[in-house]
Amino acid sequence: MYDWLPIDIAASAMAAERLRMNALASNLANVNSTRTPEGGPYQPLEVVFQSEAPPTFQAMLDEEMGSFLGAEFSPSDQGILEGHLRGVKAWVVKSDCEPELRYEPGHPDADANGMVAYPSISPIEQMTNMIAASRVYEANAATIRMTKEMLEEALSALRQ
Amino acid sequence: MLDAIDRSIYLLEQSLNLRMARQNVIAANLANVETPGYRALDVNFEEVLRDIASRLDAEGSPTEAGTSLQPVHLELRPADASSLGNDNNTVDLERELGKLSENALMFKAQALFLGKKLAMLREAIGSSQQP
Repeated sequence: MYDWLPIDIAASAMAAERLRMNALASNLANVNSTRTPEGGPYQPLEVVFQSEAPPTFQAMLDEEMGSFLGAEFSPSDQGILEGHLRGVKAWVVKSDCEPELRYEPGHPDADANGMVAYPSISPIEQMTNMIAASRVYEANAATIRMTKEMLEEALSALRQ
Repeated sequence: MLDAIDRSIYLLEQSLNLRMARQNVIAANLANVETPGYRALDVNFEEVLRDIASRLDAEGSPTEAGTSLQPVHLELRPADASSLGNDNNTVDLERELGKLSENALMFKAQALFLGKKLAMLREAIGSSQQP
């Protein structure tokens, strides 16, 4: 059954947006970090999105139960959807953009010319991305809410 | 009488199935709002439903027609690409949210109808049992 699939798909997007929010928070917090354990200034994080089939509960169940239930339990015209509908997967990569050099001769991390390497992070860009992330998060929360209401309504047909 | 009930229950059932399929497609589009290169999808559920309804009209009740009913051919197709962002993503957030609300509302209405139909049947059965 693909009744639960919208929830799986939306949940994958919510997880991806939360990861993005974490990366953005990390970038904003480290706007002025000139030192890291690896040395050098903080490297901004970027989040990459890729569409991917969500790991559904049903798929896992089918995999486990496959030997017990025959193929006749797999509904025919639902396969069309399941192969093509994608959730989303996100992961964090370190941006390799050049650090921003500022002239601050008194700074302990200044080089011989008095230049300090700061991570090149635009707080405004991070804030706009944050707004975008929270909007997408909301949209996917709406998907889950709506799907839940639909299923509840279908169940209530039994109750009357 | 039972024919009419049977037919509408069958139609409601198919419609609920198709709406749920559409919900999947909308969910996938909304999940990939930020995925570069993702193309928004749509599903031809209205055509399929119209097809089922017209076949029901032609052949009578589904139980009489039996297996002569053709299986539903659901098709995924690219949605109208009205907004093409810099990242080649064609998902229109507002449009998908609109479709989401509409689809959920119609599903709920139809589930409600189905419940009422079943309640009617139950009522009919119950009253015949009384002396």
